[in-house]
Amino acid sequence: MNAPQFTRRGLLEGAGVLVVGLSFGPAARAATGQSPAADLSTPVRIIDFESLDSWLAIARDGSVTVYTGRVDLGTGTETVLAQFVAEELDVRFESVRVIMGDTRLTPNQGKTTASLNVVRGSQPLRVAAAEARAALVEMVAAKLSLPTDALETSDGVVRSKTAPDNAVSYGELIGDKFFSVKLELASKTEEDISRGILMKPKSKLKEFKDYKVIGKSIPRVDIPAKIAGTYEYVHNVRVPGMLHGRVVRPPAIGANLVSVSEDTIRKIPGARVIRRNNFLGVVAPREEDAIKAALVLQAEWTKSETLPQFDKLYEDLTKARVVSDQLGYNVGDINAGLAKGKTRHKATYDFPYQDHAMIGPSCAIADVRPGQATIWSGSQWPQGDRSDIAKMLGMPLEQVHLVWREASGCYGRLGCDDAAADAAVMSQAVGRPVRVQWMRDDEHAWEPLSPAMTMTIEGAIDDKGRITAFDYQQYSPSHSMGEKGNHLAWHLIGGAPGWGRMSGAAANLLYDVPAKRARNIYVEPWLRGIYLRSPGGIQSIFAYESFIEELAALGGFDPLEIRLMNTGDSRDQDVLRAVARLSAWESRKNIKRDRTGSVLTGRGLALARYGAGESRSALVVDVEVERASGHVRVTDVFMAFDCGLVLNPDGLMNQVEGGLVQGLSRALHEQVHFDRKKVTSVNWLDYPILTFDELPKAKLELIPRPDIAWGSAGEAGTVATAGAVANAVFDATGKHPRRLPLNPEHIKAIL
Amino acid sequence: MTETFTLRVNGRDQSITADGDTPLLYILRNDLELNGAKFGCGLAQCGACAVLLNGAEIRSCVTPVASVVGSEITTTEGLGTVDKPHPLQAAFVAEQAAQCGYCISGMIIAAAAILKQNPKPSEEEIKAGMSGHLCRCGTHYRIVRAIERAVKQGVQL
Repeated sequence: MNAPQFTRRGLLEGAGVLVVGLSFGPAARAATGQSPAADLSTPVRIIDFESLDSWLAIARDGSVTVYTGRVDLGTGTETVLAQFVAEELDVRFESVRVIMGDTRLTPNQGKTTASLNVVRGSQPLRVAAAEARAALVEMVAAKLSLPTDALETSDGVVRSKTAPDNAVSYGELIGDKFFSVKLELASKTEEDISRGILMKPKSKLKEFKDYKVIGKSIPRVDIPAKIAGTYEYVHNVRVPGMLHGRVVRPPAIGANLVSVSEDTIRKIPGARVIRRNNFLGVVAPREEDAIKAALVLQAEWTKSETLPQFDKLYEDLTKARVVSDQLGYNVGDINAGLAKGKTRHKATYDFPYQDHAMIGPSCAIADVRPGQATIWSGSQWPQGDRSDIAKMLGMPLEQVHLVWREASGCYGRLGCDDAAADAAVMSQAVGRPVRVQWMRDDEHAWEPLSPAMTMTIEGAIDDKGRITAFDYQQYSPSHSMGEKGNHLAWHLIGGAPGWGRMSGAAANLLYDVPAKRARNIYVEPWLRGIYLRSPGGIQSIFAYESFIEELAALGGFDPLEIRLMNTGDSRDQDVLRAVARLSAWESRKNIKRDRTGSVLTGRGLALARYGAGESRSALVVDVEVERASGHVRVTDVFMAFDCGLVLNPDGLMNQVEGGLVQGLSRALHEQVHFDRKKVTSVNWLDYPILTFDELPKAKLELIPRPDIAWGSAGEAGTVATAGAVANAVFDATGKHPRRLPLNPEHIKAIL
Repeated sequence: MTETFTLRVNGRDQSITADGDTPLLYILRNDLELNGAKFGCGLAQCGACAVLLNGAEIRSCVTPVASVVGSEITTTEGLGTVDKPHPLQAAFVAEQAAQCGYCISGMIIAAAAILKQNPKPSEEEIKAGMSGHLCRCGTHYRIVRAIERAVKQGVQL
């Protein structure tokens, strides 16, 4: 029997409202393209989480535009989200375009944090794409009175299974028109929406085994323009009539502004002072003049000394006022477990304040006019930044439009949001668009810092090496001052409500321990804090893995042996065995060590299970320690990694390599210095990060898990590094370095 | 004091009016709208602002514009474009040697300067030559591989 003929006319009649002119047309494109000036005329797109049209549109030429509140922080999210949509919608990857983080165009999907973009942020887009595909198939089926299973889709075309020449393209079916399909939210609670909304799929999502686009190393869409120097970063946004602004920070945290000598900048062309309570800034038509004005402006501030003594930081952490004392995991009877152990141990580990240390300091542009404000920002949380800025400016939310543009790689929320508030305050004051670019010392000293932590563990192993008790306790100032409601400018002008959310709890303990307990004690902060990549993860796992290594040594066990013995999980065991093979691991029990030479060598192991999807990483690190200087050199790194199904193998490897290098840098070098007044490590000499000449040889292996849903990548790649390097130094020297970074000062102190 | 200068940038003469002590970076970005060179530190510590001056790398954030009149300035944009990348840039794309990409323009300039002096650098020479450039995303391995790829292909500068 012949299949019924597709007649386009019949198919296309009355297929929905025209989209053009309403929201997806040229005006919307102008708002997201490179013409910020056109922004004020952009119509507001109606965003309804439960409407498919809020998430996805198909143009007449078949090109697909998806809208997401999530943003790409340089990790390749844009590419992977497009892969997901191409996969579920059955279109070519090249036809998908992703619009990110524009508060007038994209649904609110919460914060882009915690390595969760592809785990959580992708879900609504996958569902939207699957529902769109189903709607297109149904459209054809209904017109032709065919069952939907007589039809199939590929490359943006619906066709008859039996007569493949009978085909109609998506563009012809729905091009520039609304789907008018309702989606179903998985949860409508405010908390779930702020964490990123999830959808309840009506149509079946593809099974992993059927993936064709997911799993391919599709090159990243943003990289060619980045390499040509033409990529549109937030730093490049230029608005007609724009002034350049610089902030002038107080000489001490908490100092109040007494007076400003505006005369000191009078000779600088067009320079103006902007003062609002304790907020002080300058603007000028030319950037170099704004920089000069900020440098020479004289101001008087009150004295303020609020910070602890630097060398007493960890001691003071345990004495500071406790804001919250929370129990994490808590299983079994600790005392009974300790009593059962043969080898008992207790140790304290310290992790310093660290900078996010973006290469490109925070930058934002604000155009605040009566009744309308537009902000261009590299924020990780466009909607959160927008609502804070609206409140700070005293404007209704709907009058504030935040356009996300990629900033420098940040790995944690930081000064991007602060710069947006700075620009908004200055633009409101001068009635013209203002671009604020933080200088290097603004970034190093005033970004919300990754909080310091001190961690104490008491535990025991039995005569076979099994852990019988694990009692962990951490003190940390946490996130409690750098979150939403805490823009620096808002504090300086007054009225910031603050925000008390706690973050940075200890990671789950992966080992099978009958008695284990974690206490997360949050204390009053001295410095604004937001964690750098893997909140509480790299810190607690540094302590866990150091402690296990110390227990193993005390009990006479090999580090690999003790880990294999204490985890029954096959994924943990597989990464351990893989890294043992990669590094040709030999039991450390039998190694003959000569610790009399000038250079000591050692090998350390660490294992981590971390983040969404419980990604696994196991690392072996080889080091050389110069006894006289205390200098540590990492010579070789071996890493096995499992984060479930691999979405884009090369993209994942890029993330894992990056997490590794960043983790090594944090372990070896990174530490924020301060005096009683403020942060004193204000540039790359004061705050060194890993450089090319320190790059160890590295062998990395991904273990694909085609049946297990994908988990975190970036954070999971970084969490085990500090523990592995510390353990290698322990192996080399016989002394465990319990305080990071592993710099000459700290290493000499233990030798 | 404001003066008018003629700069030769990416093979074209450009007339600029600015103070002679203005760092070249702000002229490139704000007056010529060349966004390849980035502001990173303003202290010549990170390399994000690197450009070529007569084929050698300089840090444009600390180079007064008056000092480069009469010299040939090349930015990343002057090497190639998205559609017609320079073979060195093509090697970076092939290795997917970027994450956020903020430092990458400076990295390419540094690589170009290295290869101009020594078309066959060893891995150690590449690492040593690049060590004045910082990357926060940890793209170092890929950057080294991209330069090695360019070396293998005999890329000329």
